[in-house]
Amino acid sequence: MKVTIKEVHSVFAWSWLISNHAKENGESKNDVDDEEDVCGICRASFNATCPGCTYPGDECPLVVGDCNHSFHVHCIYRWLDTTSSKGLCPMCRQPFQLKRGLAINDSHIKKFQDLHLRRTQGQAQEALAEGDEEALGRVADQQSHGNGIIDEQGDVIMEQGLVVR
Amino acid sequence: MSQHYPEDLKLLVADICAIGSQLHPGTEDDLESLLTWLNPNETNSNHQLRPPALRLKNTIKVFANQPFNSSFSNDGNFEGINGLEKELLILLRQYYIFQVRLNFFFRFDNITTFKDIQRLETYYEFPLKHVFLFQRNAEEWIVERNDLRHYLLNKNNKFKVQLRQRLRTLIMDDDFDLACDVILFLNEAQGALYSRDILLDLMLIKISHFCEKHMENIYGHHFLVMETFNSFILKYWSYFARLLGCPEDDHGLTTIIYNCFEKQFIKIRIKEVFDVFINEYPESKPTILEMKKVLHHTDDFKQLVMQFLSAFEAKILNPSVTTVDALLAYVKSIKSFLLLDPTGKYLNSVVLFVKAYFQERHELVVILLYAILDLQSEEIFQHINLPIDMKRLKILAEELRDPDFNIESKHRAGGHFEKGTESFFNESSSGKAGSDTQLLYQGVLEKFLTWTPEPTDSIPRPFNQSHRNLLDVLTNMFESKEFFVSEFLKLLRKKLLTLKYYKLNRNWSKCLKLMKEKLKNEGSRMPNHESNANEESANSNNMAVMLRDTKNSEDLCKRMHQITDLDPRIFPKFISFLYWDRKLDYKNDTTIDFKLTEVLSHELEKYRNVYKELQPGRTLQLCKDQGVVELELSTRDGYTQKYDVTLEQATAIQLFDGGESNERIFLSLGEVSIQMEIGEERAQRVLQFWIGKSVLYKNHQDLYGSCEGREQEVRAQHQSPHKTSSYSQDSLLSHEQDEQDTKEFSNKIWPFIEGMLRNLGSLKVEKIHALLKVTLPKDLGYDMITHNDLESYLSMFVDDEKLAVLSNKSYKLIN
Repeated sequence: MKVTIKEVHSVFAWSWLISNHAKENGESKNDVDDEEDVCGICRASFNATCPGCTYPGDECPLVVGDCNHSFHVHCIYRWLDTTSSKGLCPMCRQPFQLKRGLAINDSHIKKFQDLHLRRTQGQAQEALAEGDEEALGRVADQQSHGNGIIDEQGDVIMEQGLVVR
Repeated sequence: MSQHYPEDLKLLVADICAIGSQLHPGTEDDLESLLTWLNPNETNSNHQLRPPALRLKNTIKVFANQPFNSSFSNDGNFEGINGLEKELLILLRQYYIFQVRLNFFFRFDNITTFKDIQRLETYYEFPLKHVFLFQRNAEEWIVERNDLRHYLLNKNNKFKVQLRQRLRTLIMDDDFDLACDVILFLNEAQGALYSRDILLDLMLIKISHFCEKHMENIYGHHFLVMETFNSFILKYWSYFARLLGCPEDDHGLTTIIYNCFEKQFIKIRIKEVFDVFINEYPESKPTILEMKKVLHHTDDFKQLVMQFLSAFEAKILNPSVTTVDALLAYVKSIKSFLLLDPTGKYLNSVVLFVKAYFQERHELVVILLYAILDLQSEEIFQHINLPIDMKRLKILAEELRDPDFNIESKHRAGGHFEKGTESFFNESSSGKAGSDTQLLYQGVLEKFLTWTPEPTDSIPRPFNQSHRNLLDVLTNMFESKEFFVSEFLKLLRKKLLTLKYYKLNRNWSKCLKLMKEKLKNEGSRMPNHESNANEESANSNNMAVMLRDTKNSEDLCKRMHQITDLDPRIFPKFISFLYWDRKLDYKNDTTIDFKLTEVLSHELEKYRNVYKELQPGRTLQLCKDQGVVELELSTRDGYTQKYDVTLEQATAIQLFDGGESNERIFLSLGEVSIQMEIGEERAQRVLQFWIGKSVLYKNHQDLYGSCEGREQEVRAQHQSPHKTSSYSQDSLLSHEQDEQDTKEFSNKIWPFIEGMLRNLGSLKVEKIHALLKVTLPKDLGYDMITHNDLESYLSMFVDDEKLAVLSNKSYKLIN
């Protein structure tokens, strides 16, 4: 008997590759289990959408911070856009920057850079108005640090499993 | 008293004789014979309804008629009658009345029918035709006669009942001339029976019969009440008007009669409501519309609903009716009720009543969805394990697509249903109304002016105004609408996961539109029910994501197929698993995971890798329990067959792939289980599937192999070539299966037969059959075994030398 496969209509389930980041960050196993699947801001699964979106995937992608914390792009952008965020990661309170070299971050770098610029400009204006030189210096530091995000780092292999350039 | 009468009579007769002899001496005998001839009590010697003899005629002339012959003037007065003659006449009248009364009361109890009294009256009046006793004063006799009738009616109950019955029979038999006589009798008697009352009663009965004859089982006529009324009036009204003594153009009365026809119509249709609403629908639409026009009282509606529900409960809501039929009946009744009462108020009572019964049927939602989707039969058999009458399901699907109540009609889903039905009712005039705004405006105004509030004691209003279209009513049957929608989603999920390529057929896409519309409406309608709204929006969202996934998969597949390295026979679907009610990680789930063949696994892996490149940051996992594989099996004898199977089934059959050389491969269960990395039980299930398809078989060494060439094998084993030449693969296998079944069953029943014969000695086959029927546990399925079957089993035991047959054809145990 000869078996010939004519067609295969297969079903694949896609998911975001995120688990490795948290593990690398040195968080305990239990924490990883609890936290790995949900966005730290909206508490919805990474593989689902943020509350404002309908379709997961391309329309509601993830971004990964330098601190290896992942968020729905819309969630973290909205958070960073508030003054109270002070540009910090809501999970670890470190200054939030998109991790360099990750393909999933690439398309958002420009947007986050603009946001950063806008925030530092606002802070500088405030400091100038108050005549606080110390604050001005801090803002200048932040700005130069912020620019670092878009430093051309070239293609760096960062992590297994993520498409990198 | 009765003893006094003869005395009085004697005196009267003596007086008559005295006056007679004074007037005409020597004629005493003649006078006596006249009195005898007149006397109704002298049955043997009176007139006996025969004219008088000549001598008697002369006597009559002399004693009674003389004065009238000679001097009866035109103005009716007597002139020239002397006192004695006058007195004689008076006495004769008294005598006659006396005798008639005597006779009447003597016979009183025997007068039972109208004929009796008619005969008696003829008997009493016959002599008066010859003897002019009441010529001078005719009223006296009439009064006397009517008094007797009056007395009879009031006192003789038997007669009264009979008379009523007689009149009824006459009217029902359309014998109006005779009925007229009875009515005249009644009118003249002025007794306890009033002819008008009886007549009106009888007319109602007549109408009721007439209506039954002309309305029952006739559902296609548009103005049946009016038609029936007209034919009744044409046929009978002139008679009834005459009998009632009223003018034929008494419109007050005819209007009342028309109302009676309406009432009868309602009564008949309530009685037939089940036929009208279900069996005869849609041919019965005209009659339902007429019912709508005629039914005004809530009591009538209540009665209708109750009658309908009791019939529906008895005929539809019982377990012997299939769900498809029950649903079909229900859909028809919804339509009928909405035609009858577009507000859906009474339908709500029906919905509430049947809800509980329908909820007991678990397959209901699936069947309803299948009907809505109008799915093809093969799709049904994929998902449901119930015997379903496809023809009936098709009818149900068509019924749901009825253009008047179409589940897909948008204006009803969004607008007001009543508006929709109004336009249906005025189908013919709708064109005019649409073109002339003046008319529309008038209609609204008229409605406003004639609006009356609903009586407070009517059936309670529906809780919500959700009876906007058929689908709404149907979904109301379920515990919640979310249940219905989630069942739909399940079906959609199944459909999409087993879909070949990426396009849903027209039915599905139509239904999807409908569901989306529905979810949207529901969402906007229920702002207060947060939990429901959440669930519904989640359902709607899932649906949207599933469809988007399918669409994206198609685009991605196109892109992937352009890559030369990828196998174009693979059509992948990439699903957002959270929205497809799936878990991502099933690596440890032994019911799902298995090892694919190297080739397929490699090809699929390539797709995985390409996906990762195309969609950075994401990964893929193959859902091994989903998807369809289309494969072709070709045997050495050139026989090819295509199958659509699951990945697991495809992998299993690939293990038996003999390659280009078409070699036959035999594998044990253990080998299959090891190669696929699944448990033996699961492996057996998969192999059983292919055995069921007559592709594989299990040989006597417990090895599985393909069925090709099996025929020759069997032939070689049995060495009976003449038999196998006509054997097909299937029959061969089924024959083998049968043999195995028979053996198994005989082993099961043997202990019972053995015990029975050990205790009772020898038994005949009938007795054994009867005893086994009673004693065997039900799960053995002995109910299915006939007398002949048992006999063959017993002969098997005889062959095995377990039993012996005695001369009287009874069986006994050997040893």
